[in-house]
Amino acid sequence: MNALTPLSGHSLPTSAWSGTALGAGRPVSPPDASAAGGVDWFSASASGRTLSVQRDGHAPGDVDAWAKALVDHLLEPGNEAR
Amino acid sequence: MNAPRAPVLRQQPDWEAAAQTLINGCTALSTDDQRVRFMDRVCLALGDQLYPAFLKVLCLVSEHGDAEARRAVARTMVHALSTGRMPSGRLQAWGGHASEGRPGSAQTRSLGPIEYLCAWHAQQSGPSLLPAAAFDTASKAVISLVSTDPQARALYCAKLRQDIDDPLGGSLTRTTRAGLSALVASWEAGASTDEVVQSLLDALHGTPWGALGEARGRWNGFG
Repeated sequence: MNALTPLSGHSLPTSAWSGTALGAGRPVSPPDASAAGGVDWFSASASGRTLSVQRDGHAPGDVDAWAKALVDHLLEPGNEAR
Repeated sequence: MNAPRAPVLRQQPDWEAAAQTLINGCTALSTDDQRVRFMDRVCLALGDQLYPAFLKVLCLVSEHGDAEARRAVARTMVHALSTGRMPSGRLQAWGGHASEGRPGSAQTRSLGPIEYLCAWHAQQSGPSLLPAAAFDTASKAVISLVSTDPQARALYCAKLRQDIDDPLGGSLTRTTRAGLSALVASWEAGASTDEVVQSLLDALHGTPWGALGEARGRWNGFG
């Protein structure tokens, strides 16, 4: 494989950025503020408290449960894209 | 056949809780692969139109996470970058046009967080450009988060160089690639986050000496 090796132990597959990354094959959907309810994406929206690692939550191997937990904080129930 | 429903943000998303969950997941999950799949699944659930929500969560981790929290997320990025699975959003390729009612008809390309923000700000890829203030806030936060881990920074710079050297990919204009090139040069030289973003903005919008500012938003051909 043609690969870059910027650091020992890690290589960059040269095909990684041209369609094999996450979401390949999904429909076109450029950023559209109207589709997201006119969100002012990067204005301040946190209380300002420091976020620290909290060692609780879901099972260590349950990827889906962790992803659902995160998305549930953001999306209306039952509205995941997949 | 019913079209798939687009994901809809809550009226009041709990961004802070989402950022906390990203931190916890990147700590609690057992392997690098699981942690990258976790980020993957989140982006898939959000869908392309809400990929900026993932970026916002990254920004919150950067701005409000303590050192351990930031490292946990940055280490996950190292593995994502080294395996070509950096969570990405899709933008319409420059010059591509989706036919009405045929949203899959335009050429698209996946872009990682930094180049996505850059393209969103600098070129007319979608209905609305990312305003300068929002771009400044978001790009600084993401770059700062990646810089938490020197390996993540090196890998991300290598990834950006690949994007810059691939004009036929079609998703970045020459001006945007010039901006990213300036960013990489500054970032690799160890400049501060503010300096890195300023170098990109100077290349995009021009400096007091002129340069590329007038070319913003215009297609200048491959090169």
